[in-house]
Amino acid sequence: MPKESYLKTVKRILRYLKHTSDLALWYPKGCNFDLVGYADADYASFLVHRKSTSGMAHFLGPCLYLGNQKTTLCCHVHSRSRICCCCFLLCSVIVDKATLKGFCISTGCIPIYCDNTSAINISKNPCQHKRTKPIDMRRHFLRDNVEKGLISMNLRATNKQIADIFTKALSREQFKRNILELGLITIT
Amino acid sequence: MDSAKPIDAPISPSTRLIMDDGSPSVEDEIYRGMIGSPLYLTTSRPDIIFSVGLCACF
Repeated sequence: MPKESYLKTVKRILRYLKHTSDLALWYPKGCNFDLVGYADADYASFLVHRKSTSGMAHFLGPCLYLGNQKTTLCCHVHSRSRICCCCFLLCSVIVDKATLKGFCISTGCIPIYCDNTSAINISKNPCQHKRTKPIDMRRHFLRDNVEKGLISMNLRATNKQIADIFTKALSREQFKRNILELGLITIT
Repeated sequence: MDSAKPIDAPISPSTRLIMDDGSPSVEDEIYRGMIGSPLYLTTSRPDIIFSVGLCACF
C-alpha cells in the first residue's frame, strides 16, 4: 500500500520536473558511431527488499540512446552484482551491434566501463575460485566475449561513473555533473 | 503545484523509503496516477529514472 510519506518523494520529483521543463537530450549532428557501455551496480541498496540496483548507460558516439535501471534479488556478493549488471549490458550490446551491422556500420571492440576492479579481474581470470562459483555462468559468458574481442572491460573511477545516476540518489553537485555527461542540456 | 518551490535534484541522498513507516495509507489510484505519467517521461528524461523507479515499486 502506498503511504503518505511516498507522496512527498513523488511531489519532489514533480517539483524537479517543473523546475527543469526545458532540459532535453542533445544529439549533435554528424557524430561517430562508437558504442560505449557504462555499468554500475549498488549492492543491496534498495531498502525495501534489500535488492541490488543495477544501472547501465549505452552511448552511440556522444549520444545516450539507452539508460536503464533494474533491481535484482539474485546477488549475494558485491562483485557478483557488478558481474550480473555487466552481463545485462553485454546482452543488449550484442543486440545493438547486430542492429548496427544491419546498417553496414561495423563496430570494433566495445569498451564497457565498470567501477569495480574485482568484477573486471573475475572476467579476465581463467582459474576457478570456490567463492565465485555461483557467478560461473555469467563469468564465462563475459570472459568468452572479452577473449573474442567483442568487448573490453575497463575501469572507471566511481566518481566519474556515468551510470551512477541510475543506481543511487546523488548529491546536487554530482547530479548536475552527471546529467551534463549524459548529454542533457537546457534548451532555450 | 503552481506555487511549489523549484528544486535542483529529483531525490535527496538521505531519502529512505521503507515498507511500513506508520504514516497513513493513500488511495492506490491516486498514487499510481501520480507516478504513472513520470514513468512515461523516463524514456526521454534519463535523469529521473532512479527516483521514479524507486517510487514506482510501491
